[in-house]
Amino acid sequence: MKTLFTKRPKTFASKLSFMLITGTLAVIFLVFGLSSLITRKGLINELIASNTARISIFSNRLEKDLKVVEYSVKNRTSSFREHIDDKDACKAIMKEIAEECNVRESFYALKPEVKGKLMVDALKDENGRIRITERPDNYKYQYHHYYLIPERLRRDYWTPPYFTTIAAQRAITYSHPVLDNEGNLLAVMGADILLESLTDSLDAIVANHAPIEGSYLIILSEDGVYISHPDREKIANETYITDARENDSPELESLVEMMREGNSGSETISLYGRKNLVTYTKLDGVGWGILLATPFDALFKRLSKTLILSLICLLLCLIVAGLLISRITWKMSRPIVRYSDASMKIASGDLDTPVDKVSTGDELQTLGESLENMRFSLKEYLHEMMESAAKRESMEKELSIAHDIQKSMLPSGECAVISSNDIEISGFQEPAKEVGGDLYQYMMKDGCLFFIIGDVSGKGVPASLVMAQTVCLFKAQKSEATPLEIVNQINNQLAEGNTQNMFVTLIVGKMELGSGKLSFCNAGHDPMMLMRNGGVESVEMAHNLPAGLFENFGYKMDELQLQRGDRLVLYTDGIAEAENPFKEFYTLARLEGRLLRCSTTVPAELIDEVIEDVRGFADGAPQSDDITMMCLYYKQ
Amino acid sequence: MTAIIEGRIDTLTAPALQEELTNSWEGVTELVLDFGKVEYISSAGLRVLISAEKQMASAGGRIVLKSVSPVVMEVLEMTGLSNVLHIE
Repeated sequence: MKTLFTKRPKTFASKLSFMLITGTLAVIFLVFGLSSLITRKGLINELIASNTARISIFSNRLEKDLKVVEYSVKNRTSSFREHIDDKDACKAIMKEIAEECNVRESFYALKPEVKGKLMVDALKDENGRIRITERPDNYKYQYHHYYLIPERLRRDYWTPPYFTTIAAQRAITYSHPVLDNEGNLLAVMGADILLESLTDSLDAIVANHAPIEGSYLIILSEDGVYISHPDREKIANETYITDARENDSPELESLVEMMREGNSGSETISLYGRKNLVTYTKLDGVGWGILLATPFDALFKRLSKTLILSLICLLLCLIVAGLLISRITWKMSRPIVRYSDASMKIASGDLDTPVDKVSTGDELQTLGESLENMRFSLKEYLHEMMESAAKRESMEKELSIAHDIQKSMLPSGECAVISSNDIEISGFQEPAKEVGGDLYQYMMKDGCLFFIIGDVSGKGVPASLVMAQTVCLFKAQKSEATPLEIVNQINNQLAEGNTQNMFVTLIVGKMELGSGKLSFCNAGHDPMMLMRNGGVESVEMAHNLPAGLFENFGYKMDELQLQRGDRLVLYTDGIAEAENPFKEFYTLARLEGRLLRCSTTVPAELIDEVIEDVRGFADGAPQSDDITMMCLYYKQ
Repeated sequence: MTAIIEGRIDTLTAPALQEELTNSWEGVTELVLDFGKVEYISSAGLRVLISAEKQMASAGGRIVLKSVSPVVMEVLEMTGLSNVLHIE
């Protein structure tokens, strides 16, 4: 049992059963508690009704027993008064009274001041024989309360219980005043009754009207002395006041006081350390109080038994229900377990195992179908992704080949640097993507150096195609061609059917090595820089349109006489427009400044220095455009 | 019709400008481009201008550049486009 409640439920089924069983248990205990409360309340109400009925029977019986004694005296009052002076006749009347069933002893006492002092007793012994005696002279009956109260109050009086002198039994005395016609007291006559005979007859009644087991009866005299009490020792010995105070039952005191004021009813009070329902009433004639107490524990003993029994039944039912619930939830959650396994498989990459669906026609079936759809879609998606990845890979491969091809179109290997007695020329290129739109090339033909540098609008594959076309056209030139002719040819070739308006800015130059005469044509490209005598300046040139835009555009050619020691620097806008992380340009001014500080005359070294400066400036910012540079040195 | 252009016209922004202009020049005979706030123009931007100019020219219209900054003007002059485009 302990493990059932302390073990943390792990599966859905066990969780569900745990919750269901706990919920059922809670509901059962709630209903149980409520119904037991209601039952208790009902029981108490029922007990109040039944005890009220009982106590009225008991009090009737008691009154009847007392009335028998009272009538046996009262009925003979007139006869007694008639023969008051005839002692024998009076004794005969006493004998008659004493013969009545409950009466133990009868008596009369004359009023000493009127009739002389005399008290006669008629006492019935155990065998029913009656002995009549006269009290001795020294017996002062006129000071006893059984005489005094009727004398003074002119009314009947029941004494509190007292111990009889002979058998030490508890008895009570009824005394009745005998009055003359003027209402003067002549004598007091009366009868004793043994308490036992009273309570014995009551006990028989109580037994007949059996209250709840453990109930007990308490009778109090008018003065509050116990007449009947389950604890026999208290009878005639104790009053309710001393009893209540000694036994710490203050509620008893207030209850009895209410009763003595003439109230009757039922109260729940604590009595001798137990909670009791006490039903009480007051007997009219004698002024006695009668209390019927029923302890709650006795009342609920039967109820508790019933409760425990039905609780056991319920628990048994619950165990059966629990087993059923576990079984049902296990069965209902089986699809979820299956789906969980299936999704684990899918998550681990197994997309080929179909989902084990159920045909329950509810959400579980829909879930299974969705899971299966998901698996299928995932599989397709994965397939597509792998295909596109393969495509991209092949494209990347192609681009890489294109990169190599493009690189091979630039001066490389033995041709990377042309060096003769007169000149040395070198170039550099760094495309922003795999393939770029920048180009440079140079070649020696019949003592002339031809060179070209250009920048195709845009980047990537389209630009690279224009670039390749331009380089091919340049390379195919004959030695007689002038830069103007070359640019015109390139322009016309590119402009033909150029719907995309692709264009290329370029400078084509031709230098006669011997004379240092440089002729060149600029098609919208950045001006080249001349380093001469420690200074740097842009070379003035005609502002022609880029090549490829307008067929047969009238390009103009420029000329420049180079001097030995001159260095010519050509570049594309990728250098001036190289950006640093703050989006600032490298600028032409910075390029000029850097060139001024270059001490080397070797073109390759000069290019390295400038490129290093550009990279230092960019400081890791992504290169947005192709960078190309070319340097020509006219040797001393 | 006047279009105000702001910022940099480079490889990244040129296609957007191209699209805007393509949508604008239908039925327009003179498209004025306010270049007052253009900081920089790259070769891709130049291509957009040339395409626009060619399209307008074939439809009998023209493109006019207004308030061109010195930096941009330098580029236009260098590439000879200042001779092709109308600059105010």
